[in-house]
Amino acid sequence: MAHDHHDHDEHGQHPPSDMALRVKALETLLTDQGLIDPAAVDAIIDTYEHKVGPRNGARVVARAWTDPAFKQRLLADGTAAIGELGYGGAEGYQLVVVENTPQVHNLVVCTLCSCYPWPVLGLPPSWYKSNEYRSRAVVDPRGVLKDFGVDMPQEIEMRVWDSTAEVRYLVLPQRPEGTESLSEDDLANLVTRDAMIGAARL
Amino acid sequence: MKLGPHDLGGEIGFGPVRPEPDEPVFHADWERRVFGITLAVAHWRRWPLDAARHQRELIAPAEYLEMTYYERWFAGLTALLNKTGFIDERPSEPPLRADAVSPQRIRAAPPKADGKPGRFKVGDAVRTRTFADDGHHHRLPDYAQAKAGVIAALRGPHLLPDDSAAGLPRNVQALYSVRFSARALWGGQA
Repeated sequence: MAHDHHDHDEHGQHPPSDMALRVKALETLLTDQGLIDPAAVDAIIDTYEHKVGPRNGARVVARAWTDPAFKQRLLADGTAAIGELGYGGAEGYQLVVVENTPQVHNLVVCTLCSCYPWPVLGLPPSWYKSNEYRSRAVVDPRGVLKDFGVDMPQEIEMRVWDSTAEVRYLVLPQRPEGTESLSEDDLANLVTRDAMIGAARL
Repeated sequence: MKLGPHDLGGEIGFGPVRPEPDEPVFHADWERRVFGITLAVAHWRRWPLDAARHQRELIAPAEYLEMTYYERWFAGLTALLNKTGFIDERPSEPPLRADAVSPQRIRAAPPKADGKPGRFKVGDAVRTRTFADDGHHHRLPDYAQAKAGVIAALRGPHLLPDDSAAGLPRNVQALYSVRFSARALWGGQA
């Protein structure tokens, strides 16, 4: 099967790839049948390419760091708590938030496919969906963190959450030291997507 | 036993994880369209999400491993459209409209599953079952089959995806998170 990660057909400089042609043919057929409306397809793409993304999760984390009552609600019922901030919908109907502590570090994977908490993180990066990550995260999580440049001390317990069912997981990273004076917005800017999967520390 | 080519947990030989810096959400326009088309078609609820996942799992193993992510989506979607005959339908109602698109409408909440509580409680010691290589959609990976664990959390009643994917009648089951030690899963090396 052709790999065309760096497709240039948007600029018309190269002939469209095999996949581009096949997808175009399917979209045309489905449109002619009345099964899809291309404008709705555009809106779906726009929602998850531009509107829903890790900035949502960063706001959730910053709120949890600054509001202990919210943090309690978040850990008790993630779906309801993120709903307070207006986040929800597809791939987030049962969200569980797992907290990093000085003793415990969490890592989230979906070994069987790519289950991921869209409402707070948007769509997953390629590495999360890769054969490499899906195979290694459950058996060698410390090795995987090394691939991300993170040295996880042996004294810290690692918990790997395999999202094989209806539940979606978000990691609540530890608040970095020396951030006491930062506003909630500034705190949100510190939070990275990878930290909310567990592949980074802040 | 392994559930299929997608059952990758614990497989060796794939090498290190290689994150791409500042990776775009989509690497090509056709990937965008596959994503959008798949969700637009799903709006008809012609088949459950479990069936869509299962169809990708039926891709031949060598092909599955080589395919990129949205190539798998495309293969699964075309197979389902053909298998169900939906590709030939011309619905009398209009398709999903652009102004009706939202995260809640893109994929509606799963059907309410009321069921009696399961028989396990948090802290119970359990041993997981095995699955045969039967070509059905199961969600217990091979690495966690026939293993000793502890009930970590109760996740409430859910439709069993195995049956949902196969179009079988509603089968509501209690969902659990089970905790396994690395040693229990992988032996002394872990």
